[in-house]
Amino acid sequence: MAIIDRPPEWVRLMGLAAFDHREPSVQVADLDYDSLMTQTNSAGGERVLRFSAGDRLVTVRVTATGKTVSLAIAIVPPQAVRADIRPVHGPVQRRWVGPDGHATCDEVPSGPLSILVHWAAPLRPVRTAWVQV
Amino acid sequence: MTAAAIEIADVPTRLATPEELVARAIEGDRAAWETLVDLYSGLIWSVTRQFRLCDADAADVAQTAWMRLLEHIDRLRDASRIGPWLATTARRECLRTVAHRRRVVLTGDEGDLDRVDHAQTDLDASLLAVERSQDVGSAVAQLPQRWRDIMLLLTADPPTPYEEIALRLQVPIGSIGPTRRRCLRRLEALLDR
Repeated sequence: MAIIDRPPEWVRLMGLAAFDHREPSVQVADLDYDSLMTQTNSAGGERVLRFSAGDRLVTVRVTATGKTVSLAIAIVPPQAVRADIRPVHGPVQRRWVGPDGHATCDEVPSGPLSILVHWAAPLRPVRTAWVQV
Repeated sequence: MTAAAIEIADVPTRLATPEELVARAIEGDRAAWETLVDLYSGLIWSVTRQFRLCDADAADVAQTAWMRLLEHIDRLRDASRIGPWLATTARRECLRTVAHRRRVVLTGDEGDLDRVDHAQTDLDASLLAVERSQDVGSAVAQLPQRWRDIMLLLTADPPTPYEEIALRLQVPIGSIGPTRRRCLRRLEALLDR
């Protein structure tokens, strides 16, 4: 029977730190589609991520720009609301989504990321599942 | 209170099952979450090792897997299967990372990841080890409280000497060996069910 390696301490510390990101009051939009997992892996292509929580959708087009990425965000239903782009390796970047449901964000550090969309009442805020970009 | 009494109070009094830990973590119990992290850090690390990721990529995979578990923990269909769920999640994140690095041809369907992959025998063996460990944990949880305390101390790393166990648990030193034998027989019976 194989023996599981003793993990470095940082694996454990990351697990412990994850608890601080607990947001039980915020609904999670699950990752339904990731073009990275379905397309032939051509270099330099745009990656499309689609998240859903009920009838609310968040589509993110990711373009790699070196160590950072650019994001084009589209939300359904469209609303002029705030979206918080929350990369693990950088500060939260706040963007306003236009009435057409679109927003962009450049120079987002690569790595795990979640986007919190502040849909206005009666809708509740939704955040996307964590995903690596 | 004497020093020995203080030490007795520090002895873990009960081994929780993964289902119990998950239920408590859902309620916001940080200690339960920390125990889950202790139980499954080795599994996540093992998965990242399978993909030979550099430390930076392995760190992103580990962090994403933990975050995914936290956001999904109240929706696990079978909390006792948390190990395999976490391993599958970590494997998917490893594949994303590898795909991002443009080293492999990708699978067409994430469902493919759930099928048997003969290249993953080491990982499967690791998962079996984890599940076996969980079975043992569940069996130990069914032992009488005093027996569990003794077994916890005997299986510590390094094992606690009989003299210290007798002192900490206030039991005759001559009873520890026979209790250990009875514990092992009971565990064997429970695991054979």
